[in-house]
Parts: sequence; C-alpha cells; structure tokens
Amino acid sequence: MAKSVTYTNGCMPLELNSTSVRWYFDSDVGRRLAGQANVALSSGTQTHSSSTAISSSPTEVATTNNDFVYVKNTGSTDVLVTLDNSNYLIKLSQDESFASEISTSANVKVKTASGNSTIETFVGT
Amino acid sequence: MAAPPNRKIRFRTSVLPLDETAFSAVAGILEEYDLSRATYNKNTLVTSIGKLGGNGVCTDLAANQWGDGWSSFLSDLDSDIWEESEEAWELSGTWELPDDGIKLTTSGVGLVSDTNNLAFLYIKNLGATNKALISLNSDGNYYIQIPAGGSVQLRGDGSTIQCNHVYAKSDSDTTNIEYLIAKT
Repeated sequence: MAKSVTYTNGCMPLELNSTSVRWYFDSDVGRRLAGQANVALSSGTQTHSSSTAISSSPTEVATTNNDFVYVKNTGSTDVLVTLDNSNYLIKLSQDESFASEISTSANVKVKTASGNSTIETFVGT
Repeated sequence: MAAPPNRKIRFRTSVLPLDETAFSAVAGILEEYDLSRATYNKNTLVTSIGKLGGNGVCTDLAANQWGDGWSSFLSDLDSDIWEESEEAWELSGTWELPDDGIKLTTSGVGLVSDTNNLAFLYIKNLGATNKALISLNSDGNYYIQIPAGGSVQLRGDGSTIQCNHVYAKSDSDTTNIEYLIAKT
C-alpha cells in the first residue's frame, strides 16, 4: 500500500490600525494565505519521533534521500534548522513547526543557539 | 499612506501521515438504484502517528516593510484606481500582476533585491503541474520543493538569511507562485 503525506502551510498577515487599537488583515495582502499538497513517499517509510532532546550541538533529523520533513519545537528555547547541514537559517520558537517536501540532497539538522530544547520530528522517505 | 504602527503574522502548519487502506466491496441494491461498490483503496490517517502540526505568531517583522513588493500581489483592499493606490506601480511591477502570480522558469531568479534580514517567508505554488523549487542561499541548492497547490513558510534566523537570498525556479517548464518576503 502506498504511503504519503498531506500537509498544509497557512498564514494570516495582520496590521495594527493607525490608532493602535485593533488588528486587521494586512492591507497589502487582504486575506489569509494557505496551500495544501500531497507528497507520495518513494520508499513508503514514515519515521516519527514525538520527543527528542536537543542542545546547541547539531542533531540530525534527516539524512539525504528523504522526501518530506516536519520539525516542531516542543520546548521553550528557540530551535534553529538547517537543510544543508551547515547554514541554520530557519528559526522555530515554542510550538512552531516547519514542514516541507525536500530535495533528496537535503540534510536536515537542528540545534539551539544556546541551552536545551525538545523537538517532534516526522520524516517521509 | 503612512506605515502602520505594527505588523504580525499568525501561521499554522498541519501534517497528516497517510496510508492507503483497502476497503471491501459493498453489496446492496435498492428498488431504484444500485448501492453496490467494488473493492477500493482510500488514504487514511496513520493512527499510530496521528495528526501533526504547530502554530505561532511572527512578531519579528518590521512595521514599515522594505516596499510594497514584500507581498507579491495587490490586496483586494487596495484601491481600484491607480492614482489612489499606495502601490508604487511604476516601480514594483506588482501593479500589473495577474491573479496567477509570478511566473517561474527552470532558471533560478531572486524574488526580491532587499538586503535586510528575512523575518518571514511564505511561498505558494499556484501552478497545476510542476514543482516550485526554493533556495534560501541564493542561486545555489534548491532544497525546498513545493508541489502544485502547496506552500511553504518559515521564519528567518534573524541574522544570516536576507530577503534577497530567496531564489525560486520551476523543476520543469514553468509554474507560478505568490509570496510574502518580510524583513525584520
């Protein structure tokens, strides 16, 4: 049986009005934004870890040859994510997550800037 | 118009691990129509993993963005009369954007030229067939893939990635995208 992942990323840009009283949809955007897609997993493998302790030393989430990655910061310290094993360009604060189909060349690792945190991960291969 | 006092972006991610489940044939006929159904397969949630997801509020972005080009489209809230629009239409290029967004080819292109640190990135692939490939490191390695209809969003680390580091291309032929690229 074929395994897959359906994922949705959506956001709501907001703008404070000139009297600093109420938030409105951002007037440069004007609406919610969202996209949804399904990723068929080439090897049909789904690997889930509900809690992994991490530190300021890199922890590998996904080696190369994966189709999909999901990382959620379940701790209270900000987490940094790299897709190329070296440049930690993505930040996740508490309860935030990153989910994307990835190139088979991607090598996903996480760490904190300092201190410890915990993450939930899901990798589809 | 003047820049707003503040901006923020609420965002949410949902992930459903699925497996194809076989369902048995259904037999049964009513007087007026046939209810019977052959064996079929359907994607169902992998219950041992369950639904995954997270949410947050990005407050890192600047109230006064680097230009109206930080969003790739004109809002429905903007004026229909160009003279009254806050859009720098003759500069931004977004003035004449069609509803189907920015067209990508298989050649990588920087989406914006602003060199401030990236606070928040959202890109949706509006195409119907091809993937949008995204690089966070200029025209280098395109590690993020967005299938047709899908989207990606992330917060920048606040110190390394800049708005102009975001590049995009299509994996084949062409596709279209819409985006938000917000500076800190």
